[in-house]
Amino acid sequence: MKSKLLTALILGCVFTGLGNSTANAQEGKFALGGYLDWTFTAYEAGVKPSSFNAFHYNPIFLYQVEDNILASAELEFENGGDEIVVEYMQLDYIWNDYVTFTLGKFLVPFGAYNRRLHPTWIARVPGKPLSNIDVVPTGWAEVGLMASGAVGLGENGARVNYSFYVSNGLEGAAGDGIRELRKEGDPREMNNSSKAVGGRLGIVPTAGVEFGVSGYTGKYDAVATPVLNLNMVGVDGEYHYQDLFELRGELNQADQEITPGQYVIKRGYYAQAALKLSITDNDLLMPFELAVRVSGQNFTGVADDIHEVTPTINYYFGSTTVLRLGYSFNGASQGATAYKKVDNQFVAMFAKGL
Amino acid sequence: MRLAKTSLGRAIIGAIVVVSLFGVTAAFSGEMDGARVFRNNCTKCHNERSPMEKTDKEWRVVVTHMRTIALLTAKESRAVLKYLQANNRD
Ligand code: HEC
Repeated sequence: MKSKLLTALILGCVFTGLGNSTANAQEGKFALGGYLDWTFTAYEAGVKPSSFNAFHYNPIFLYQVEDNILASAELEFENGGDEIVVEYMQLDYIWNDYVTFTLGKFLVPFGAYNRRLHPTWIARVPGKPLSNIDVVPTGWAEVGLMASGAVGLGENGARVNYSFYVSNGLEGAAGDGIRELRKEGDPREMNNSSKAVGGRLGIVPTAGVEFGVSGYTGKYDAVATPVLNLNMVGVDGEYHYQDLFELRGELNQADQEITPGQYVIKRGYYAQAALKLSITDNDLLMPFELAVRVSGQNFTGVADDIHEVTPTINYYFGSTTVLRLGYSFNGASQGATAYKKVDNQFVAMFAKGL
Repeated sequence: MRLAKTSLGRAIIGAIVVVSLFGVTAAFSGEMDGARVFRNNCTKCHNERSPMEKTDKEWRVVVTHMRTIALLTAKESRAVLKYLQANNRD
């Protein structure tokens, strides 16, 4: 852990040093990004202790090596430094107007949440949707090769976009939870040398609307000649009215082979709406946003179905500085019968995009 | 190679070829309105980032980054970069 911290510090210092030096051929090729957040979580019935958390400090280092080559890395300090990992480190090579190759460890473009929305200054509701924890993982990076790009379809912002990749793939023991199959540290193959393939095809029919379909297939059991399949499919969609209102969601399904020939089907959904009160033109209400997320997961009888509704009030101190107050109403039902209440949860989160 | 033998592998390679060809043959018509590209795209995932936040050079790097995340077209990326650079302090 110490050596990781040291590497991180050196990287940070070298990077900011280079970024600031003026009499240098590298000048103007760097930019920094990232985010930072703080949370306070309390449970209604006290299933877990209430707690403050220095949840994330994730600096992102961007280095534009050449006009068409970008090197980027996100360093994640999570839970007060208990976890320090490289979230992604990749090189994007813009081959031509329509094809960019990505080499390295990249966030997987499955749906919109994992690649585009999960940073806490971006996601409008605290916590992850249930479709994006144990059905399709979040903070899911793969090492491999990706081709992506977009083609415009006229002047009103319509386009199609695509990302296809081949990667080492998720790996773990037979029947492990899907989130546990991510390779958070060393992204190389551990035992299983089979490769996974996947991709997403997105359509922007008109500005402010996007639909996507995603797929992933690979063998996940951690043995030299793996046999257990893990297939995932998903659809995502979003609608925006200017920057004042948005509606978005994802439907995901994972078919996980537990023993040869025997599959568990895991399904998840989420839908989220957010409305900025600046729509009212009232000075007092201007910095507020109301958001609500509904999400659920259904493991087709293998585990309880769970669902949540999280209304959230966001107060923006600036466009990337926000206090979120969310209350999750959590529930569970076994199959279609018994319903049981799961502990509700209050989260206060302060997030800053860098 | 094993990948090329699977039907999914073939579909992926096929899709890349089709999209590349489509791209190459797509007509390259006049300039795009960078302000419109900004309005249409830059608040889709996160709140608006002010053009004032970054220098011309930093915007060049960040727009390349956003191009890869948001999958903007090359034309959109060039137009929005011009807009951002024309509306900051630099
Ligand atoms: C598809 C979603 C999406 C769209 C559209 C989008 N962004 Fe971003 N933006 C992100 C994400 C995600 C990050 C955080 C970086 C990361 O997690 O890798 C980010 C980060 C940034 C940052 C911080 C610096 C950096 O590069 O990380 C700036 C500035 C920014 N975006 C500006 C823009 C502008 C300008 C546009 C319009 C051209 C835009 N964004 C469109 C998703 C998006």
